[in-house]
Amino acid sequence: MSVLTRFFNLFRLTSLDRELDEELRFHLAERARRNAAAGMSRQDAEAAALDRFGSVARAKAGMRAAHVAARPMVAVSVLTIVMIVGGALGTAVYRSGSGQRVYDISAEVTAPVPVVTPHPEYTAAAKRAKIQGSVRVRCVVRPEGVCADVTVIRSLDRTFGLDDEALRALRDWRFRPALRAGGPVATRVDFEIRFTLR
Amino acid sequence: MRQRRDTLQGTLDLLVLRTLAGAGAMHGTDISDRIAETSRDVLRVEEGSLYPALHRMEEAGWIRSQWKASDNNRRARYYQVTASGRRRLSEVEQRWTTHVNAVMRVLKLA
Repeated sequence: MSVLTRFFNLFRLTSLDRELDEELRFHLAERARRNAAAGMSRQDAEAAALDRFGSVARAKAGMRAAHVAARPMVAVSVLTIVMIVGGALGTAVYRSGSGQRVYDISAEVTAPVPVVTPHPEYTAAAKRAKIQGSVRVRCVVRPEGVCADVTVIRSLDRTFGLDDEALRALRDWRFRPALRAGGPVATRVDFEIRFTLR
Repeated sequence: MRQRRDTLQGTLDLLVLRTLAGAGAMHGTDISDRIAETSRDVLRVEEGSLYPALHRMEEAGWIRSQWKASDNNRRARYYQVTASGRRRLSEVEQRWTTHVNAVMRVLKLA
């Protein structure tokens, strides 16, 4: 597992933690409010809420475990498919919608390097429907290091949201751009995003 | 021991699914109070176990959740039962009834 993947897993865990905290904070405040409404002093109401709940740390660990155990795997691999559409190696193969020259990766054009790679989410509906497989997505990695013209070239699932998740994730990726003669250029890159349920 | 934990966990699932099946979306505090009310205070779910159970059941696809404003206008996570949760409920309900009937038969014989 790359350092970046680990970093993003960590980030996801902390955002999960924030949600768990918020849910438990709501519960304890709401229980204390109901206790107070039943005539307890504010202090007693809060103490009784905690008492009835038991260990918050243990509950949180249990909630976290429910997610970690069920978390399916999403693997993203970069397919740098060399396609010579026109012209000699290293010449612009076409122009993007914005008129920018776009290259394919070749002897003269280095591949862009992903540096920020948030993973797509496995949608709950797709998990329930047990959809697995891979989406192939094509995009132009611009000299600024962002994906443009992101399109699905081989669909996996339009119904339960996995195609959309793949597109959404790639729009958030950031790259060190491809280089041609030492300068950043736009390149066309295909990605395969594999969704696997454990 | 494993049997015992499964039975307890199964009972909690049953109570939660039954409660949600009879109502719209509810947050954890309401689920806990509703179970206490309908059982005339005989059953008090351990609230620290309720939340892990809710998250486990959501991952299993039996319930789903949504953040909404509560009655007193705070953000709360509301749960509701799914179609697969209703199927699960009738399975567990049936198993529970069989179990209880078996125990009752033994009690009457003894």
